[in-house]
Amino acid sequence: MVKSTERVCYYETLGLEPNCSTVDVKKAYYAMSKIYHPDKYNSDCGMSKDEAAAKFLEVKKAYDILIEPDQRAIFDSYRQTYAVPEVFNADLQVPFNNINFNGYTDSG
Amino acid sequence: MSIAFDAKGEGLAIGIDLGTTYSCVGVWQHGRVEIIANDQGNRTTPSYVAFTNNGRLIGDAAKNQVSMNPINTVFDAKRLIGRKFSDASVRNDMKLWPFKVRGVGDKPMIMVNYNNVEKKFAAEEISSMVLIKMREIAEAYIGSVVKNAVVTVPAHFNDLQRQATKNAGVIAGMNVMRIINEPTAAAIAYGLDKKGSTVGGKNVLIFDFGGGTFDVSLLKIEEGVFEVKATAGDTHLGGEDFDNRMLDHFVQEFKRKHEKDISNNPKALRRLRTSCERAKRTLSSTAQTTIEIDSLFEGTDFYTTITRARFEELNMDHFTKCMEPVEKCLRDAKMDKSIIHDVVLVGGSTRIPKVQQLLQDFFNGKELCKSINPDEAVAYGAAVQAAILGGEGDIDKVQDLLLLDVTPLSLGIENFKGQMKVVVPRNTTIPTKKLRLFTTVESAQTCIKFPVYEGERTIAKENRLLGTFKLKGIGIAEKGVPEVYVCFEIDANGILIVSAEEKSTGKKSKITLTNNCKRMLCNEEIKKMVKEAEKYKSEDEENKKKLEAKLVLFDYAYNMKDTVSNLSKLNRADKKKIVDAVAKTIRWLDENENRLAECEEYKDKMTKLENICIPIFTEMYKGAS
Repeated sequence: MVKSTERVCYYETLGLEPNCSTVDVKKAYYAMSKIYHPDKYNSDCGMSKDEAAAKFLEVKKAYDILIEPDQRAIFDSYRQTYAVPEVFNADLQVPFNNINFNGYTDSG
Repeated sequence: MSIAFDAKGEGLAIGIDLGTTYSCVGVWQHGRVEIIANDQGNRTTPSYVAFTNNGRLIGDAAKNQVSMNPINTVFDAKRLIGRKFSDASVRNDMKLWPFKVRGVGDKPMIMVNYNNVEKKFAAEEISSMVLIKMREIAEAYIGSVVKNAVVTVPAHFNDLQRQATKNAGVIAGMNVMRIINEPTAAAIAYGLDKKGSTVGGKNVLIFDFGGGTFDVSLLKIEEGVFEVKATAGDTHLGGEDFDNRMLDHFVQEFKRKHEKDISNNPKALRRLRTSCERAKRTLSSTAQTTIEIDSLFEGTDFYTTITRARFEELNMDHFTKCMEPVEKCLRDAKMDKSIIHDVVLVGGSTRIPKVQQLLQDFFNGKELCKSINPDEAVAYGAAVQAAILGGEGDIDKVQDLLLLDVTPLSLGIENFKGQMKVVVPRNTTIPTKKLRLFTTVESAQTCIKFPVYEGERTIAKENRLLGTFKLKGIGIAEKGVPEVYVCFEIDANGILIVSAEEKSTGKKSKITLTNNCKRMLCNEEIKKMVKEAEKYKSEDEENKKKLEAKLVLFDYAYNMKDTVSNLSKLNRADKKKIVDAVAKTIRWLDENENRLAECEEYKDKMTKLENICIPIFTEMYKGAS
């Protein structure tokens, strides 16, 4: 049970190329956090405070997936084919919580 | 410019370490942190508030008079804040406190006698008084009004305890810019000058063992980013617990030696406790120390000795308990202890040799880092964070610095089977926002109840209930069809907002959990407390004026007494007039020693005395010339 949503590319979120190294991922995450984290907010970034906070959450999510080799591999395989799936855990009913892909189970 | 002004230009922002037993305040000024000494010259201030017939005392003044006034001297408010009256820890603590605590609803309230009136205070109010004191210390040093502060809490404080601490700030009339975790603050103190110096970053374990709480945090420091990887701890373990063990030991010893039980005498217990605290500190540097208290109980003196070995034996279970969170923290961060670069000691209890030894053994003999001041590191880090948040990005040293903290406990919802469904796992970087999809369990169900819990147990009821909210008006449908999105949002303060939305009808429901919980203060209560805090403050000022007026009169009376006795030129009748008037004034002062009279009364007495003395002296000098 997979839902198609808008296509999100985590490499683009962090401003990276798909062949980047783990060190690049980390560096991009640190650099972007220093711009978009609510503590560092400055109107110079061209966004409202809420927009910047939302951007930080996207950056964080992209980092969480790309920094973990397994998650990154799964993402890479989806990225080649079609739109990024969004999988939800419906815990009261539990119909489709057996997909082992943390990156999409909770959406920001 | 190196001074941290906040965005609205409201003056400097300070960092306050609001401790269980002691508090500390710092400010970023002239490109560095200054830890500020109080009016007694001490760089930490006891978190004590005393209520007397001569007004309210906070800090050293309160602690110094504690053995005279044990039942109206309040401390340990941090062990009550955000807790329920029915909590086991509150029940146990109450047995050890000389002041009275009563449950109102399920909220613990501290009962004291203030100006001969029975008063009850919430823990938030006591903490707000300590915060006010810390702010005053800072204002005296900086020389201007301080509005904004960063306040620290133990990393393992739960949502309610954080919110309650924030409320204490509101009651104190401050803008709490941020609640930050104590070990994280200490990490800034440690890493401020080291940031980015090592390639690939540094893994640092902060071991923060204070007077009342214990925290372990594991951080990665890289390129100026302080990223907390995991945190663990115990919000109820610290130096005071060691004092309690020792106290208990000596109460038993006193019973054995003198066949007298002092355990129902608050004054004797307090004196013994003060000696225990001192002995504990001494035992960190010597192998043996003595306790000497004259006339401790019913005229019996108490002289005894205690060795470091005995002290360690009394507290061994506490000490070994400290290693569990260290292991848990490493496990959560998926790190092996061999890749930890530095183990940093913070908090007074890390001075205990046994604690250091156990920790060093755990890290296979690794040298522990003692480069930062264990009593001041937390306030130091808070002051840096205050500068970051208050500054306009022009502070060279801290401009590049970012704190990424985590949520210490898992947050989730109880499902219909009574299980805890985690939405935000512990050690998730904050701020964060997580969505989960829920649905109905019965057909035509129009309302879903969401009990929100915090904790690590799989059975929801075994965790801490933060609050419950309902989503009503769900469209009628088969069970399992409605899609209800539950969103957990945690802000940078670690404070949680939960909302739910049903897709088809667009029905929404939202709570900031803490507003809806019975034992939390509601807005009206907070407003009332803010007003009262202002009232107490003006009373303090009034009392100060009274005290000053009293001292002026006191000085004048004794001065006259002195002068007259040394003057030979004065005729006998005049001398008697003055001596009598002075004696009358002194008698009146003695009679009123335990209460403060109105300023006017003092001034009145003063004028009367002057009216007698001045003409006589004027006359005498005229005669002399």
